[in-house]
Amino acid sequence: MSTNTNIKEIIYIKSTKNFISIMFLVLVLVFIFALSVLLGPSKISPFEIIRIITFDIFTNKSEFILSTAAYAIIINLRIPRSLLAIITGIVLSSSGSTYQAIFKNPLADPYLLGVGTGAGLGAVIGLTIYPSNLPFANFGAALFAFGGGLLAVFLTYNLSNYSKNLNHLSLILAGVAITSIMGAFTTLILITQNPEIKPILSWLLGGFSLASWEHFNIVFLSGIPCVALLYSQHNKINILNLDSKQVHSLGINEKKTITILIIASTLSSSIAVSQTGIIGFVGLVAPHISRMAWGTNPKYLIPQASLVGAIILLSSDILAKTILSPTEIPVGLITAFLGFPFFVQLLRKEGDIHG
Amino acid sequence: MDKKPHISLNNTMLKFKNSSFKLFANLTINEGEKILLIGPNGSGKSSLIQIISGHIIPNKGQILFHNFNKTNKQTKPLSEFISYMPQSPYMPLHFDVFDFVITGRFSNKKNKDIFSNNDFKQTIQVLKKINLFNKWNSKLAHLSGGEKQLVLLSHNLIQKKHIQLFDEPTSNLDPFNQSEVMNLILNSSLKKPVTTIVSTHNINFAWKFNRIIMIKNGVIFKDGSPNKIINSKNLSALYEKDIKVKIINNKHFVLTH
Repeated sequence: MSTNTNIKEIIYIKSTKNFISIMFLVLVLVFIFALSVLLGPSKISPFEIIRIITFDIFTNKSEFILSTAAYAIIINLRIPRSLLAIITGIVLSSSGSTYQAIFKNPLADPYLLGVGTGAGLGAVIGLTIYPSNLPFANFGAALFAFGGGLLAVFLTYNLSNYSKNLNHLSLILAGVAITSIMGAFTTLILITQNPEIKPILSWLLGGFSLASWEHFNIVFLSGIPCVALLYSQHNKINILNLDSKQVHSLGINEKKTITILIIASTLSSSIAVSQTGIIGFVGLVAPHISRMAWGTNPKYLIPQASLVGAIILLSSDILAKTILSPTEIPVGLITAFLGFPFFVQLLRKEGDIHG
Repeated sequence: MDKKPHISLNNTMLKFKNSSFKLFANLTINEGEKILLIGPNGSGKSSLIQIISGHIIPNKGQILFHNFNKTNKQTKPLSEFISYMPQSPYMPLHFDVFDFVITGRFSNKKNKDIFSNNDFKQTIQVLKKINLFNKWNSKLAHLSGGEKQLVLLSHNLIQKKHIQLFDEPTSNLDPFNQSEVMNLILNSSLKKPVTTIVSTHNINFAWKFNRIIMIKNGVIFKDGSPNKIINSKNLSALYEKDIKVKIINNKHFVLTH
């Protein structure tokens, strides 16, 4: 084999193939998005949906007589709901990919690090102080969720540092400890302080059934700058996978870089949690699928994992609203059911790699 | 021939918390020197290398890089002319060989994408040189200890820095790979003069280097060319064991038993 053919083969696997995979994932996502808008308890034909959407975009709505119920269902329920699932998948998966690199631990994700329950606790505190029927309550809950998420990841990180080096086990054990303590506080507040326990409980399980444009806007406006920041650092995120000594040798100030990345990941995923509830496993599973299929380079891994995460969450939401229709299942339950066998498989594989 | 000093450690002193260990060094290193650090376990070889690499800041004294006019307080500039291969570092086992080695092409100054065609070429070259090209897409998890060490070495060679530090680069290798690796470290293909500092426990490599520094209990015990200082008397004193140096067919051999 000459060097040239080798280079061509490697360029194909390391770049071209990744481009193709991203195009493919975008197509799949668009298809599932269409499916998600089409499916629901009320039957609305694809033709009518197209009519509603084109009218909504291109014309002055008052001039046309539209079935107002169908219009409201598509424009104010199904589309924001599907978009919220997509943006949440993107945020959780790009944060997951980042956490896995900076904690040098392929098992790190917003949920296992305690960010999910931390943000949940923050949001519950926020909603207890300032109930959800008041204006801007969602925004307040988002701010409290960020505080809770940041506190949780800070505690997990420091607790795991007790064992001197960031090994896989100590980080996950610390995450479990922080998750349970945050969960306990949440339950305590719920049973002692909040009379409206039921809606908050179902929110904690995670779901998009109450999705509105307001929820979407909050997650979108906080998430997109954070994801863009993470992506702009993809070169450094790649290097952060190495031993701290090598990171330092290559000229990166590890502490400073990690701090910025943790704040961006935690901000975006906490706010997603505050609007959608605690949805586990996506931030872990999506980066893993992407790495196994296409490799570890964050330049491609972050978009690939984001798209895979969006596809998983949107598909899970379709399942959530259709399997027991008209009853809805919280999407967090679906991802837990889907995630569990994957997680078991992963532990076995990790055992192969690390044992 | 007088050379301009390149690196100097002026009365550098290092102390660890909760330990009685102290390292003291007064040392001048010239451009292009090939230095081998030897000494018993815990004598301070790794600490000395890490003081030069900027990973450890000494408690007293200073370290100067003359041609670069920088002190070791600035880690960013150091990374532009020093590479450092640590002893048994953490490795991301889910990376493949290619993606791991190519990270050596990262430069913080440029913050450029390291996955350009030129980076690909350089990575292929170094992997061929080290005979690991056939495993370019194997996960690090599936390599042997020796292969991982070769990957780590490639990661350092590909950086092509002026000053190259290696902390026990041959510890996991079979005897043939050991001497292969030492040759790769010493016979750099770079046009610029490269200053190389290597620590090892294999004293037989001493005659490949032009300067030997013996460290004992945190101080420099002997410093000179191998022919001058590698002898039975010095080695026996360094390790406090009976060690003989024999010459067979014009080659030196260190006998430790």
